Amino acid sequence: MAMAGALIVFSGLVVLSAVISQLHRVLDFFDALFKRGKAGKPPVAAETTVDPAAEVSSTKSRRFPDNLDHLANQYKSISEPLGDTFPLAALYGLARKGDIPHPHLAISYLRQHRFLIPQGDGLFSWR
Amino acid sequence: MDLLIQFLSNTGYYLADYRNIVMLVVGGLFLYLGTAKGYEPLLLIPIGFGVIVGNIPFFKGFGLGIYEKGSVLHYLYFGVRSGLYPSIVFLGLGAMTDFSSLLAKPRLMLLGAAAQMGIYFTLLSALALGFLPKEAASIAIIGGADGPTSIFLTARLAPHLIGPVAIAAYSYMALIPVIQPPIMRLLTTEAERKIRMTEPTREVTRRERLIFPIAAVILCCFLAPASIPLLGPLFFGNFLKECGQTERLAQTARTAIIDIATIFLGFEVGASTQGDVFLTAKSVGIFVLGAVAFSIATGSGVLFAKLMNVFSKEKINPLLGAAGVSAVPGSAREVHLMGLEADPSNYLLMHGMACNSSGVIGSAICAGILWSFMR
Repeated sequence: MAMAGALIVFSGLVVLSAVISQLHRVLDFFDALFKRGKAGKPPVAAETTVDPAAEVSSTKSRRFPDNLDHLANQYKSISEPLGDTFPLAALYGLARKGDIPHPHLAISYLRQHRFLIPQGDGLFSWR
Repeated sequence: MDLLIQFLSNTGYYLADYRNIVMLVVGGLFLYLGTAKGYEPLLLIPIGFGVIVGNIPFFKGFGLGIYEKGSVLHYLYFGVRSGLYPSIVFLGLGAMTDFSSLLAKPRLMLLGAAAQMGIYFTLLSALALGFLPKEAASIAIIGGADGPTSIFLTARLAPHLIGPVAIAAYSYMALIPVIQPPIMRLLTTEAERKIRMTEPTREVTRRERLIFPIAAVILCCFLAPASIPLLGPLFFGNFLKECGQTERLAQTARTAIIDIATIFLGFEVGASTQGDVFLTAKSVGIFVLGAVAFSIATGSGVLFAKLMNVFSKEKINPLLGAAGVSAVPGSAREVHLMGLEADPSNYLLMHGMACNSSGVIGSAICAGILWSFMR
């Protein structure tokens, strides 16, 4: 019984993780299909001739962000009220308040590219 | 004079026995931990006060106690017995959960699955120790480290154990900073704790976040329909949050509604721990097995992350396995702090939250599976 339960929960989450890992590809595929349909091409042709290059460029276009300096300036300006050092959660909160899109990802990038420098105790400052 | 004597013999001072006193001390301890130490105050303070209220001795038959029909406490306890409060808590939880980090790194979901192994190991242990199958399943779910899920399943399978199971589950959630770090240290090397997680290379679109709750509720509930009362509200709450048209409802779900349910859930669970019902040998067994379940859940998550590293090019920091239990956000925070200890610039919180959210889904599925098995 325990083994069966463990297998069921594992298989359920494996399937769910497989589905969500392919979700963006499926959405890209339908986007491409929709665009071609709109352009007047027959949908059947579109299904069979998905151009791999187009798919790559579609994924590339959604890579984030294009200009890190611009992103850093945007976040620097909203972080002014926080002072020189601040926790990332506070910066995240301000970005959410300001309706800046994808704050999680943006802050990760800024940290990864050393725009945000750790100062210890969970505090960060700008480079 | 007779009236005075009769009145005095009905007071709590006269009726108290040592079990009430022990439980009053336990309630006081919870209040102390929640208030002075800040350990899970939103849970421990309602529970602690409930323990005190539930252990004030009273004259049986007045319709006062939580187990006496017609009492106010009994009516409020309906939400616990029926699984109503846990479902409402899940609604609010869904409305406050951002699944973006999980959507960006779906393989972290496997760590949420691995951490559920503690549940099944404890199920076997409890059966071996002589607990009835339904009781064993209720105790085992403590390994999911999810209070509402534990209460939900116990209410269905072994309602007489709600008090000890709930108190054990919430106590271990509050004791995450004490229980998890030694296990994480024991099972990982310094070099493993320093592993940096790669950042996602693409943004998670709004459409993905919108489709996720729908796809997840269908996939998970088709597999384990008995988890509908938990996963249904969870993903509904998340859809309210993500759809962009119902911000008012999402806001209410993640503030007023979840707060109301948490207050009544905590208070009623606390009040259900009347000394004569709670202080039994079974409760001691439940606490011991609960600790085992929680420790194994932590360990199995960490070990599974190490196993994934054997087969995967992109390494995972094995500490994240410990966040596969569903104690949100306590275990993710603990993983993050331990990662910072090894490397002050290693920031694991968001990855930990991904594992945590997966753990919430995993433990709710486990509850559904166990409920189906024991019907």
